[in-house]
Amino acid sequence: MKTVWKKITKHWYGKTLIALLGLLLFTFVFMQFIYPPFFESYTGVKNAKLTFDSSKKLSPAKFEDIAKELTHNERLAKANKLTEDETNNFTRKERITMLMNTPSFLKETDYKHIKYFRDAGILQYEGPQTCLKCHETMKVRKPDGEIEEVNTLENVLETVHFQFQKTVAGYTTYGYDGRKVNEDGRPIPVGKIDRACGIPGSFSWTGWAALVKTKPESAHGEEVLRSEGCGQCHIGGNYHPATEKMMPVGDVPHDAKMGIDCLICHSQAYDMNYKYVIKDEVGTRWNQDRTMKAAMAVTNPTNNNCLNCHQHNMGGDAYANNIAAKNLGYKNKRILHEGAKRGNPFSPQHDVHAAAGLLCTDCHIPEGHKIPRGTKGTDLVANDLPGKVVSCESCHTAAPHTENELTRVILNGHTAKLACETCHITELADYNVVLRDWTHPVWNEEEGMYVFSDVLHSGNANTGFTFLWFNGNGTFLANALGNNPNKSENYNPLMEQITGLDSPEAIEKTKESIKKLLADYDIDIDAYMKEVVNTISQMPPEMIERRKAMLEKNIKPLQNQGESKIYPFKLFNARMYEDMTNQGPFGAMILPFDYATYYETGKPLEAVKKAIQNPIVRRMYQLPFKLYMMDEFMNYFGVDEWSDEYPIDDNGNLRNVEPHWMRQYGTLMVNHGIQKEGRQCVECHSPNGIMDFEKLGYSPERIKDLENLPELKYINSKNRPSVTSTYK
Amino acid sequence: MKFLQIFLFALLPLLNIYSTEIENNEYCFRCHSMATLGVKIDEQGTLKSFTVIPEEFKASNHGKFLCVKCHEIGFETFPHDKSKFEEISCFECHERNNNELFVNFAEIENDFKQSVHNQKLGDKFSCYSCHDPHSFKVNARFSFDINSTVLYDNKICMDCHTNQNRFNALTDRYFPGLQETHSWLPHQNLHWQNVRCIDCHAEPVEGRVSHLIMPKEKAVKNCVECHSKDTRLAQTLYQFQAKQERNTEGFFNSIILNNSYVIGATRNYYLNIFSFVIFGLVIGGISIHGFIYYRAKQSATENEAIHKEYFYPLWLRIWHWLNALFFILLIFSGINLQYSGSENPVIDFSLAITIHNTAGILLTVNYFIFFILNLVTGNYKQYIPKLKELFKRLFVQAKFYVTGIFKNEPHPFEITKNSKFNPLQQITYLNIMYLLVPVIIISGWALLFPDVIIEKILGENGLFPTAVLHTIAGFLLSIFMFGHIYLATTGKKITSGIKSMITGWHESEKNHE
Repeated sequence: MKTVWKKITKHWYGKTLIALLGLLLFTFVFMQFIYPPFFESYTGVKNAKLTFDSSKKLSPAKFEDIAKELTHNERLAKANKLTEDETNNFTRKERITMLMNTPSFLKETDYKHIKYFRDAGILQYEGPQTCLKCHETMKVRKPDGEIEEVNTLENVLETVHFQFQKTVAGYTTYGYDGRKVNEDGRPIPVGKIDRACGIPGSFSWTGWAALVKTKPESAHGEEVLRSEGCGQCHIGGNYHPATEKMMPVGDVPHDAKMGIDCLICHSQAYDMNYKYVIKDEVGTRWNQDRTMKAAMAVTNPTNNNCLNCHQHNMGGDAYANNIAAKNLGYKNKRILHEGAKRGNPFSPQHDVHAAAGLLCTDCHIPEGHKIPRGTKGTDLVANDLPGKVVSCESCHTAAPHTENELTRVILNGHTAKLACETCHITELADYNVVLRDWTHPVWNEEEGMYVFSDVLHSGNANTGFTFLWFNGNGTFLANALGNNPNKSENYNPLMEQITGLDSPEAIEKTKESIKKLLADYDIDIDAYMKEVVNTISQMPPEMIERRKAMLEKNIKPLQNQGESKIYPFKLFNARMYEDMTNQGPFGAMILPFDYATYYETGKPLEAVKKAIQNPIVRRMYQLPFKLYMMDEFMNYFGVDEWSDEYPIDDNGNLRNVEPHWMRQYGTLMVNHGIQKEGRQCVECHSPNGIMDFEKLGYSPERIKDLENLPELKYINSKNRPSVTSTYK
Repeated sequence: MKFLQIFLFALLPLLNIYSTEIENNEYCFRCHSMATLGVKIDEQGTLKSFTVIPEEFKASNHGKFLCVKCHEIGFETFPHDKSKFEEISCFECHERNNNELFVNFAEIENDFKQSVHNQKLGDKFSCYSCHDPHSFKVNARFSFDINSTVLYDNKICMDCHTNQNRFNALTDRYFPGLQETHSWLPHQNLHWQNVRCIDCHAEPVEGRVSHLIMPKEKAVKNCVECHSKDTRLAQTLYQFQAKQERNTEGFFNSIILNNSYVIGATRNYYLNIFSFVIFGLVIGGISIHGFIYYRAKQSATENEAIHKEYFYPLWLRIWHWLNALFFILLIFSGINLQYSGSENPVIDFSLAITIHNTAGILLTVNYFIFFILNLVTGNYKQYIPKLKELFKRLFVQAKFYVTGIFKNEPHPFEITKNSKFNPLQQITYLNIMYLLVPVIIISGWALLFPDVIIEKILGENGLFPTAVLHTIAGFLLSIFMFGHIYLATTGKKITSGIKSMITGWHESEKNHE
C-alpha cells in the first residue's frame, strides 16, 4: 500500500491526480452533508421526511370496488355528455343504457392505470416514488418534432410550477432602470417565490402554510382552525417553497422531492378536500390527496386539473363555478378569498373556448412538464418556455371575423391595433378586486376573523380595467409598456392612466366602502381618496421629478419597441405597510403579513412584525443576501441600493414602516373569460366612449374622426345582440 | 310628431354619408390604412385585403389622385355597395395609343394577350393580378439601382408563385415549389436576387418591359443565353440601364454599383484589349527568344560530361503533374466561361462550369498536400530567396536569359539539390505558389459559395471585385504557364527538363569542378 502511494506521489501528475480526487471527495462530502444543514440553519427553512395520512394500502377487494366505481362514473359521465343533444329524457336514458353496454365505448373510456396497477400489484399510492416506478424517464416532444428522453423527476423539478422562480433570462419584464430582467444584468432568482405582492398580502416564505384560529358564528364561540397560504396552489408538499433552488449551488433534498403532488395535475378523481394545512413536530405544511383512488384515475391533465388552482387567479374563490372552492377541506378548511385577482373565469359558462371543449393545453402546448405562458406579460412571473407563443392568432389568424358581412371587414381591420381581448372581454366579474386595503382590517362575523378591506370591486371598463398600449413588455411592478404606433410623445401611462382612478363609479364606490370603515377607524376620506385618485401624490415633489426623468430616459425607449396594440388591463392597487428606507420613485419594498396574526388579531403592524422576524426575511437585510440579489433587485425597482437597515430596531419596535398605496396601479393581463360577442362600435366610437383616445396618444384630428364616424349610421344596432352583464 | 320622426329615420339610409365631395384621401384612409382590413374569402383562408398603405400610395405613380377619382360609384354607403361597383379599367386613363405615358399600352395589351397567364387563366387574370394601382411605381424599372428593380419585379411574381393559397385561387394546377422546378439552376438565390423572373420567362421586347410571359417549356434554360457577350440581359434587365450608362458614369461604375457579375457577359472592353496585348507580347517574346535560342543551340558543341543527380522526390513529381493537369483544365474551362457565347462554343457552358468547379476543388486539395509536404520536407526553403545582393543576382540571371543563353554560356547560378531554383525562378515561384495560387483558390471558393462566403464575410458588395480578382489572377497564371513550359524546354535537350520532372533525375554538365 505504502509503495503504491509512493509510486503515485513520485511524479507531479500523480500528485495532481491525488489533489483532484481529494477535492472531488471534499466537494461531494461538503455538498451532501455540510452545506444542507448550514443552508437550513441560515435560512430557517426546514426539511424532513414527509408522510401523508391519505396514503393508505388497499385490500385487493377494495381496489376492485373502487376500480368499478371510478370506471362506472367515468363511463356514465361520458355517456351523458354524448347524449346531451337528446331532448326526450326517456330516449336519452335508453341511449345511455345502450352505450354502457357497447364494448368499444367501454374500452376507450377506461382509466388505463387501473389495469397497470392491478398487473403490478400496486395497492398503495406513495407519491412520486410510485409514479417513478414506471415513469423514470419520459419523452419530450420539442417544437421541431424532435423527441428527447429526459428524467421525469428532473423535468418536474425544473418547472416554474415547482420552483416559482427562474435565475435565467426569459422574462418580458424590464426594471425601471431600463434593463431587461436577468438579461442586461447579473441573473438573480426572480418569480413568485421572492416577490411580495399586494393581492395575497404576503410572500411565499412567510405565507406558505398557516393555521388560523377563527371563531365563526356557526361554531358558537368554539375555536375553529382554518388553513391559509401560498402552498395550497403549489405542487411542493414541503414546509417551505423550493428555497434551495434559489442558490447557485445545492439542491432540494430528496424528502422534499418526494413531497411533490403529482396527482393534483394528473388525477381525475383528485379530492381538493385533502388540501388543508397540517401541523407536525417540524412545522406546518399542506396535505394532499394521496389516496389510491386518486392514483387510479390518472390521465393527462384536463382543464379540471389546471383549474384546481388557476380558477383562483381567474374567476376567483367567489366564482360560482369554482369547483375547488366548493371543496375546502375535510378539516382546517381553507379560507376563501373575497375579490378575484382577475375576474375572468375560464369555464364553459363564461369562456367561449371552454364552452367549445378546448383544453388548456390546446393553447398552452406543453413540452414535457414545462408549460408556456406566452411571449407577452406585464408581471414578474417566471416562464418555463420563454419565446414560445401562446396567442389568439395561432388559431384565428389576423382576419378572424367571418360571420357578419356588414362588419367583418372593418372588424378585421381593427385587429392591427386592437388585441382580441379588447372587444371580446367586455367586462370582468363584478367582484374583481381593484383596491385592497390591508391596513384597515375589519371583523368578519360569519368567518369569525379579521379580514382585509376590499374598498373597490368592479368589473367595468375604466374602473375594474383600463385600455393601454402594450408591446408585450412590462415593468418590474407589473405595468404594461407600449405606445401608440404614431410614436406619440403624450402617451405616458406611468404618469397618467395608471396613477389614478377617476371614473365616477370608482370614486363613488370607494367612498361608500370607506364610510363603512369609519365605524372602526378614524379616516380622513378626502385624504384617503386623494391617494387613490392620484397615487403619485404620496411622493415628495423631488421624487416625482426623478420619476419623470427615469421614465423619459429608461422607459420611453422600451415603450416604442416592437408592435403595440391596445389591450385591456385589469387594474389593481393595495394599501400595504412598506419599508420606507427602500423607497424609490416607483414604490417601496412591501412588507409581508403573518397570516395567523393578521386574521386572528386584526393588528396589521403586529402581523408585519411577526412576518419579518422570519429568519429568511432577516437574512434579506444582511450583507450576503444584499450582495447576492437584493441590490440587483432594487436596481430594477428603481432604487440605487438595497438598504439593509432592518425595519425592527433594538428595542423590538418597527421603524421606517408606513402604510401606502403602490405609487401606480398594477396592470394584469386578462386573456380568459373570452366572450363570443364583442363590443359594439359605439361603445368606443362616440364622444363619451369607454376609450380615452386622448390619453392613448391620438391627435385631436384623429380623435374627432374616431369619435364621429358617419358610417355608424349604417351599422344598425338591431343586427347586434344587446350587451348585458353575464356576471350578475 | 312621431310620424315625422319615423319619416326622417326612414330617410336616413338614403342620405349620402359622403354627401360633400371628398377632397381628401385621408377620409378614406381612416379605414383603409388599417393594416389588417380584409376578410377570408374561402375555407383555405385566402385573404382579400382592402388595405392601402398611405405612404406607399403617396409614393406610387398614382399617389396624387383622389381615391374617388377611380372609385366613384357604390362607395357612398358603408359597407360599400359591391353591387354598384363598376369595373375600373387601366385603359380608361391609359389610352391604348397614347405614347405620352412612357409606353404604348396597346402593345402591352397585345403582349399580355399572348402571355401564358391570359391564355390559361382568361378573365381570372387581369392587370390587377400583378399590378396594384395603389402602389405601382413605373420608376422602379428605370431605377439606377438594378437590385431594387429586381426585388420590386420579382415580388410581383412571388406573390402568387410562392403563396399556395393565392396560386390555387387562380388554378387547380399542382403548386410547384420554385426551388424544385429550378433545381437545375446553380446559385438559385444569387440568380433570384440579381435577375428578374421575366428575364428568362418572358419574350424580350424592345423599349418596354415584356408582358409576354411564355409557357414554362419556352423559358430560358440555356446558360449561354445570358452568360455570353450578346447576353439576353442586354435586351431585358439591362435595356434601360444601357441607355442610361452612356449618359452617366460609364460601364465600370454602374456594374460595381449593381454588384452583379454575369459570367460570360461581364466583360470590360479595355481590360479585354489589354489582356490580349499582354498575351500577344508574351507569345511573341517566347517565339523570338525560342527562335534565336534553338539556332544558337544547333551550332553549339555537345558537352559529354554528364552529371546525374536525384532532384525531385516522388511526391513532388506527382503533385507537379496533377497540378499541371488541373491548371490546364482550369485554364481551358475558364476561358470557355469568360468568353462563352454562341460565337465560340468549344464546350457547353454547364460542362465548362462542372469541369472548372471539379478541377478547382481538386487543385485546392492538391495545393494543401503540396503546402504541408513542403513544410514537412523542408522543400519550402527552395522558395525563399536570399536577400543579399538579390537585385544584382536577379540582374545577372536576367542578363543570362537575354544574352548568355544564346552563347551557350553556363548558367550563372549552379543548380544543386539544395538550391534548385535560380534567383529569378525563386521570386517567380514564390509569387505564383504563395500569392497568386492562394488568391485564385480563395476567390474561387468564394465564388463557389457566393451567398455564404462573400455575403457573410465581405458584406454584400464583394461579388464583383472577387470575380474580377479571380479572372485577373487566372489570366496571370495562364501567362506564367506559357513561360514555364517554354523554359522547361531550354535544358540540355528540349525534353530533358520534362524528363527530369518525370524520372526525378536532373542531368547537368559537370562544370566548375
